[in-house]
Amino acid sequence: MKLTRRVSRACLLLVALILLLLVFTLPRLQFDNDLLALFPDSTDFQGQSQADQLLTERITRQVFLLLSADNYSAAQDAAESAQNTLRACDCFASAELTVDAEPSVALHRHYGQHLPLLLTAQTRQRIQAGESEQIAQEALRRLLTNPGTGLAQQLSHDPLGTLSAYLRQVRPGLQGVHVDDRGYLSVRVNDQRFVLLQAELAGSPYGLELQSAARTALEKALAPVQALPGGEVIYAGALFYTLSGSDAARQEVSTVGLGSLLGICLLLLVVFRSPWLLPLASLPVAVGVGAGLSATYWVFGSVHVIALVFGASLTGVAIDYSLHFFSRRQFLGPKWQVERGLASLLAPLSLGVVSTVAAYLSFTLAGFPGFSQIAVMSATGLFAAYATVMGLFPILLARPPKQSFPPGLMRCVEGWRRHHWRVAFPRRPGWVLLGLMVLLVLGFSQLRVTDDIRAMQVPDPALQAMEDRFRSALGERTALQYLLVDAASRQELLEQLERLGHRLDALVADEQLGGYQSLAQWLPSQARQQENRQLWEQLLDAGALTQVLDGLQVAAPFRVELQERLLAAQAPLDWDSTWAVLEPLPDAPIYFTEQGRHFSAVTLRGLDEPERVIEAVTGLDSVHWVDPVERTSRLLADYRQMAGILLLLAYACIGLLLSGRYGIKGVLWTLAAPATASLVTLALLALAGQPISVFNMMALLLVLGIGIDYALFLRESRGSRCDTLLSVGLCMCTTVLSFGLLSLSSTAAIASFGLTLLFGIVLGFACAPLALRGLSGSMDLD
Amino acid sequence: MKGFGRALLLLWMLALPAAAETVFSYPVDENPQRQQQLAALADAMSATARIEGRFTQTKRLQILTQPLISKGRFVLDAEGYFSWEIQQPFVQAYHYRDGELIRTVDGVQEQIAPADEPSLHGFFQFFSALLQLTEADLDGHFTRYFRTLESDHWELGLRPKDRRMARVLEHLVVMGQGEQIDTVRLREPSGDSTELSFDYQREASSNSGAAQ
Repeated sequence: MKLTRRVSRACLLLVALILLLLVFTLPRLQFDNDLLALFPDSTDFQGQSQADQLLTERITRQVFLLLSADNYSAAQDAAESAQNTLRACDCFASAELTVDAEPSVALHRHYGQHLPLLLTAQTRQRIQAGESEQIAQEALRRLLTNPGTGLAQQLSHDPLGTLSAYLRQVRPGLQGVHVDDRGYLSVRVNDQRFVLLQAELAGSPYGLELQSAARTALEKALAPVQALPGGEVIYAGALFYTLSGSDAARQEVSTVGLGSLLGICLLLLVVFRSPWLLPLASLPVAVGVGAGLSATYWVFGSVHVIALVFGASLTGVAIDYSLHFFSRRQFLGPKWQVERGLASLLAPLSLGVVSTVAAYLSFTLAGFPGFSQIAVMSATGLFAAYATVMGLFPILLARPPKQSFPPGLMRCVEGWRRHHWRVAFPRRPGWVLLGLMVLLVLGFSQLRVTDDIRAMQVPDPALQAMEDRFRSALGERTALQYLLVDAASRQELLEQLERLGHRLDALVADEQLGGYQSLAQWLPSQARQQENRQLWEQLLDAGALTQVLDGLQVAAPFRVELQERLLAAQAPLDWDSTWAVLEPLPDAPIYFTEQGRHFSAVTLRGLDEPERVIEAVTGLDSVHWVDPVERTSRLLADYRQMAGILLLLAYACIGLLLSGRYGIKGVLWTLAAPATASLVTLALLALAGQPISVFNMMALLLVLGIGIDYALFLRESRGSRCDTLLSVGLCMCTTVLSFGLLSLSSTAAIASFGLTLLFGIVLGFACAPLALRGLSGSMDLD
Repeated sequence: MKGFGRALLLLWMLALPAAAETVFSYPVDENPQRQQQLAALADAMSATARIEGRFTQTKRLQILTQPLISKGRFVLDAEGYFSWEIQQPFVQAYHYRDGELIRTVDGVQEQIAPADEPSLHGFFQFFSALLQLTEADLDGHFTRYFRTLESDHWELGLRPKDRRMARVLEHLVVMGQGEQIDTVRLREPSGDSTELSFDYQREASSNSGAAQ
């Protein structure tokens, strides 16, 4: 009794401290909802992490809006107003209807000074093939037929059209984009004209605060367009996927949460017949969630939304502690004495919380940051909930209850009490074992695994269709996969990129690749510049320039000046001055240095057959193929396997903790309950055609954590107390109501998690009597 | 005597462009009457469903010993479709609509992005507005000058407002009669000039001939 009193007082003090911590922490909480943040930063080679980050930032921050109406001019007005609305929000770094020409003009001017050094692969081939006359003829035709002004400048800056060809290759521009009468970018989709509004987010689209501000700004900006006759908006960008994901999560949380809450309230009202117990049942959960959030925030600096959802759900299991307390109290009725009651709960509750916390904390060994958060949040939450039950409930529920259980319910429980031991001691154990083996063999023969993250997070089909429509109007999208090249020096890097470009050019020519973007296209290596210079001289020696000047009848002084200028020795195109011009461009190539090495990413367009590119680049030094999706899937596979090992480790850990009290045989039978439930769950999932992923494995860890509680309570009560059976049954029902509903989620990963728990918890309850085997002597603490 | 002759020639050369550009003494912005006249003309021209004819482009560049002359046909319809087909010295066609520009060379079509050839896009955007005298477009980019002459003739002068445009185009003079533009002269800051003259009559007759 003394022990119970001490524990209770310590718990009360702990609850007070938790509440103080909550008041201090809650205003500081920050949430994060990037699914990939759930996984550790694992890269295969140096530079990959930075390249990933630079590319992700560039791609994920872009927001594209296509605005249309029956009257195009009205759509233009609305687009102007939308642009102003987006610019007014701090969540957008920019919102543009036109293209800023200055960086492009600077690039053109810079290149213009080094004309002979800049030739495309195609121009080089043509000169080598002796097509100088054709090159001159095409240039002459272009100069003679171009309407408007600026002929003298064209002739002076690009007499043979080689620079325009070079610029076209470097910056192919967005396919299908036009400039309208107001200078705005315009796109035609199915013969309908849209104004293109390009915006860039000020931060990651995964940040909840930015998402919320961007949502408000977009709604305000787009409403006037949608209100126009024939008003239509097509949007594309990562932001809309994250908004849709957040919406779905919010809707699911409210639907699942409401369903679960209503079900649990009804159940508790029917069983305990006291509305006062409803808020009291949730109190440990509320304190637990608060404590879990605070601990997660202080340990990790922010709380991941997925960690919040799962962590809160796991902490929700703490309602079980309340139910055990209520059941014991109500069962004893007028004989209820708080200290005695608490003493009878101390052992199973403490064992339960210690073993569950140990099981949850074992998640941290998986190395997934997200799962570590879930582990810290749920372990802290459960412990805080335990402290609330042990510390506060003895004060709040000191008096005996006024109501008793419904007689019908007690008759059912009594019936179950008489028969449940049959699970542990079946009449025909051989047949039961055989049936179980057949089920397991059948199931495991069908077992499939999946580690494809795309299958676990299927995007909203409507959004996908809109994105496809957008892409069909604006051409091939940049693939997620890319090639990362590294070298010891800048020149070496450019030469590596040129060797790579040579192989990629062949794929483009064979139409196996739509195109690519490489730094070497913007800035040729010194060696390539020299080769270009020689080819240029070859072109001029073949009379190409003379042919153009003769065709136009250019006057002698200018002719001489031009010829001398184009043949004069020139300083090479150097890195520093060129990079200064390239860097401000929105489509500048990716280049960075890390630990003294130089890196550049080559992005790919129209990548239908990645294996062709992998094959083509095989054998090139320092060229790495990076497939972020494939890498994530590989990570998921690694961690699925690790979760399996962790599961065994958690069983061993709990076994070790319980062995002192139960002995080896008792421990094995106690663990047999969640273990059998888990195996049968896997077999059932396999028979239902569900592939197994890391999420199922994590669910099985929970089946262990929760299932062990059921087994412990039954064992501690020797399976003979109706109140224990009732409370374990209630726990199972509430857990199924909380987790089982997750199986209805539209996110495949969450649904799979929910389904595993649904099967696992029901089976864990059914198998709990296995813990009654091997019982000997009294195990009551008091 | 020789020196005197050269001075006279120089004076004549200086006076020649000045005489052609007297329209720049008639700013539209400060004169309600001219504003009304120009608006009425613009309304009448905008109401024209379809404009088609032949053009002759003459470029006079200081660096060339001879002017460059190209000829062809053009069509601008009410929907904004603008076709510019060069027949001499090379066959080459441009088709422009709502900012979309397609070039056809030897039967091969090529879509031209604004970023690739901005000046070409600028030309077609400007001329589709000019041929219908779309006031809003012209007023946005140019300071306007306008005067009427004898026999229903008129002149419209345009000077770019934008500094970047002014670097490549000093001014434009559009000359017309009734609701038709006869000639457009573009003068660059370097002194180079381009003259486009339009002939609607011949086009109409050739069309009717083709119809028959």
